[in-house]
Amino acid sequence: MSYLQYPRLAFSGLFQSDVSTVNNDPRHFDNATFEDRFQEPTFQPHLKEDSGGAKVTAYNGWWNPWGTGIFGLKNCVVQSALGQDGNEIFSSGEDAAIGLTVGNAGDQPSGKMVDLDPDWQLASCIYGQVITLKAANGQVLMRGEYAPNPFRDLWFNRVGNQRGDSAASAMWQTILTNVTWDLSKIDSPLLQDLKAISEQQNNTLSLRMTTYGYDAALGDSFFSYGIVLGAIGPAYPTEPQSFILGRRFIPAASLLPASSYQAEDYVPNVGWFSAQLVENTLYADLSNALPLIYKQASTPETAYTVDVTCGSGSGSATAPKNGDSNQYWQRPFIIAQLTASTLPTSPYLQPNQYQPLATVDISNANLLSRSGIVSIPVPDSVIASINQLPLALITSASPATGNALLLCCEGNGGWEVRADQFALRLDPNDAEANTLDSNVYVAQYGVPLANAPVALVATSTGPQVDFGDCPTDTPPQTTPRAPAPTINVPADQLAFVQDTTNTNANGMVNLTINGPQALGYPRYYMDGQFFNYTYNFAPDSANGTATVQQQFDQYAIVVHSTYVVPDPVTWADVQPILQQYANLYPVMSQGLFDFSKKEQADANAFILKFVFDKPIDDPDQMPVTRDLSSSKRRALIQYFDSVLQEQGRPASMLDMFGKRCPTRGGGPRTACPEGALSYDQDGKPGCPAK
Amino acid sequence: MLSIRQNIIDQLLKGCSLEELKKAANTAVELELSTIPPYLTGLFSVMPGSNQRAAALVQSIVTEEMLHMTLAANLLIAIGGNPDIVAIGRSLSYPTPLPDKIDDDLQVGLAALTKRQLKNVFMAIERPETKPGEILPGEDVPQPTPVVPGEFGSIGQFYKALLTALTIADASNPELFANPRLEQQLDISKWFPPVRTAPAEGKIRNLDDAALAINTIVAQGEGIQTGSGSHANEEGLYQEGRSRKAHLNESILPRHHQGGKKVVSTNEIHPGDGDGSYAHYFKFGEIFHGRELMPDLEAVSGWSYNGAPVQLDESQIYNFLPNAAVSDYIPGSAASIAAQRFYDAYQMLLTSLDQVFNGKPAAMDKALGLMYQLKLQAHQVAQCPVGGNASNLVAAPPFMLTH
Repeated sequence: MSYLQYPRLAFSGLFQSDVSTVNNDPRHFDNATFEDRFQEPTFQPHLKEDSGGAKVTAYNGWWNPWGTGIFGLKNCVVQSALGQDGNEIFSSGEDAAIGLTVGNAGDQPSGKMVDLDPDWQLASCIYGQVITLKAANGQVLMRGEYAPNPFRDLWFNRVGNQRGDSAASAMWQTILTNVTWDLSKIDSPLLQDLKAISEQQNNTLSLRMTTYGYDAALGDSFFSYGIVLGAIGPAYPTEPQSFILGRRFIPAASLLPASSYQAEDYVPNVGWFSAQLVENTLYADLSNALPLIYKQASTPETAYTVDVTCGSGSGSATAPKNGDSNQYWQRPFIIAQLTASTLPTSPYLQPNQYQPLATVDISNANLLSRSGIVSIPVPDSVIASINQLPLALITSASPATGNALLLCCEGNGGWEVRADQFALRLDPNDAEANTLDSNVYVAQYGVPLANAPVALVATSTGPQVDFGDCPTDTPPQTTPRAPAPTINVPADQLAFVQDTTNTNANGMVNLTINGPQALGYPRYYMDGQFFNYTYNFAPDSANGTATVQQQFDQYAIVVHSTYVVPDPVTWADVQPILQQYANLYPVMSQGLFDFSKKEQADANAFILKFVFDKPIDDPDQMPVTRDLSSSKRRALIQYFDSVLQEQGRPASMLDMFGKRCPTRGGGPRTACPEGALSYDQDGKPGCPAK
Repeated sequence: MLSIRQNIIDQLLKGCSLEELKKAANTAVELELSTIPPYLTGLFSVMPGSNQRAAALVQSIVTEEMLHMTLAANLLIAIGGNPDIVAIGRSLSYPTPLPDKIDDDLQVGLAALTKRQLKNVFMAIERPETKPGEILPGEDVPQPTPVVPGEFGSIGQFYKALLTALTIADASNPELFANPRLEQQLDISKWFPPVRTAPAEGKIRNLDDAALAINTIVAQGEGIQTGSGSHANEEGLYQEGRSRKAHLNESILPRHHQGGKKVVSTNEIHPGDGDGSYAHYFKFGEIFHGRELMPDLEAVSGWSYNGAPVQLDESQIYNFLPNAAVSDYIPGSAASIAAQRFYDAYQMLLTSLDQVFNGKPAAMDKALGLMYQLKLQAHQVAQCPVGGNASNLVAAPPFMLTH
């Protein structure tokens, strides 16, 4: 039971994610080859011609080098709710919860969004975010803390006529913790019910946000904004926090061979989604699944709309225009039960292969007003076999062929295996932080596999050079000079230990993941290493058969490098760490002060210690700090502590703000007489401003 | 010079009720808060990395205004009141009027850091009161403060009157500081660089602490008015980083209450703030005149702006839309969206400061984070053209929703 179930609020609006992008190219972590222009945006337009007509692209610091990392919601409004009788409510006359604002904290710094690692920008995490429910007069009715969690089910081709981040879509599911309420001035039975459940469940709620339509064009009005579809409902400790353990619908093209499709057919580009059966109703979440089209419009919500003919998913993209004779894409979408437990071998289903349950609303209005959640009544005749046969999303039968087209369905045997915690950091410098738990849930046809033996296996994807995040400029001379890092080396650094043979009553088995005793610098200029592991049922598992996993449903694990804190910690020790930080986050080093220069860092020792000392999930925790090992963070804190001890606080306000290196921010680095990165014989930085 | 209604001063000098004292302390909070948007607007108009000395000077001044607001709020808490920071913040509208007790003769507007804004607004706000014949350090001719008897008095006079009223009240009411609620007061030693002239931790426990706090506010704003001229040049040699003794203005210490007695004579105004820096008027003066203020025996005031250059390169100053409100920007434009974001962050900051001074001083942790966030978001606003008919103007971070 989760956000899908009563009492549920559905909201829509915008989100902002002002992520910084200098760190999107791992080579920018190399202090030795860093150039000032890596803090400038990519050319707009992306590719231009020089005076001689030659094509020129320099990625520089990518599309938002001055990003602040800020995440937040904007103009999000509760559009509908699921009432107690199972009816959906769309007007505030029916319940005062409709029309409320879903927003951020009003009294603390904004939440932040960061990638797990520059070599894995596919599990970005929100932290320090508070979610509030507010009345029109601004009164906060509900406030909860977003448990930091990365997005899942990311796909890059949901918007068929866009590319890159603007074409992408993903969903964030998490719990809100420390939820507090003030319903004294609102008469909402639905919120009263949600509050009662939340208070019984340790003051938690379930939240799901699906995000798409992100504007990554610097200079656009809505640059750094995108569309968010949200749902809030009850959270229960028996269930995973970051996904729905239920009916997992897999795109048919991932299950069937390409040869099983007829080339002339257009196949709508529907993504992965999940559904959950509650008594006789199946709730399916299509928020991250329906294909979209982009059209120029004044607001993001009107620019991105559902269009089943727009997609690069499978089949022939031009078929609808060219006259696809069978025109499956024009037929209504229905949820059906397949009549055999073994998967069909062809996506073209004959009438005896499926039992239709109901047509689903795939309109854009439904996407925005119900957060893409559809309710499918399941007749008693089907309930009997509901836990034995796969469910599917299909088109209704084409009059031309009499066949339906399979779009998505449950995998072989209806098995699902998913890890609740999958994007992790391990730290050999801290024994406690070098071992982590991951709760893995197992279900079949949506029913948790309770108290039964299961065997899981995690498989390294092997050494890979991260070419994807290290593009080459045109002409190539301006490409960053540092070599692209190789991930997943050295091998066998991580140990996955299944704690118990059997799942527990909730279908969960815990994997303990242990980091190595020590790790060097396999990525040379970048701390730690990135490892990714696919996971599934082991071949010899007593229950479960290996299933198809979503492309990015993998363990993504960063292991920090071993670092011994020097005693005492000197400026020469911390300068390279701070230099890298200053390079990667110009919004901090140039927008505030340049802490890579001793004079400025020391003058601001108080504020630097203040932020480095913050809990890891505090919104003031800078993105870079989350990239630091515990020991490097400790070294920084010790250094600034010693500065404070020796010098006391700055002698005056002017002293604090007056230390500005003439070569940074204002002028090019070459203006520094001795070179900002040079070191003298004692290993001390040789900038005269120090 | 900002001035304040004389009747408020007169009432304080006569001695007044506890409620009236709280009102006066609240006025002090309003007054200090009202200077922050103009100075921050000036600071935010400096392009990153440029005009570094000028930016540092303005930053140090605005931080001191925050300190003054804190000291005033601590004083209010000590005598049983709490400020409504959100309401004060939302009541401020520019160009003026400042809170209704404060003179609107001076047009305080929000604009970029230019010599014009420095002269007409910033230095005008901070200008020390001078009497006929007095010449301010660095200046050549006397410019006595215009006297408008019965209507307005200077901020310095207001603070002196507040201290007088506190002294009178304390003498007749031993309970005045009996419950200073120290746990609610903000410990400045945690959040500001050391302020040697302020009471310990910036907390107000008794009348002496109140006097030290008020003295710090006046000295940092207007400079020290010394009892004799002998410290003048000696003071000037005390630059930041050197230890020194603070010279307090005895005329506003409670034990030496002098009432309206004239203690300042020609050339006895000292530009130092008693804590190693110049007072605000002279810091702004350095930017305006383009050079640091130095002792100068040749100069008629004993001081002149002939030190190291303080550059104000106006080509590196964003040409801000003056007195910006969110409603000035075209809905849906990049400027409008960034401006709303800045305004929201400013409201969040006011809300967190309201918590700080209403029983949750630990909320300062969040407020500090928001101050840095505000600066980053101000920079984002400044990346947007205003558009429409104001094509040559850059969007300014708005401290107001509408006009």
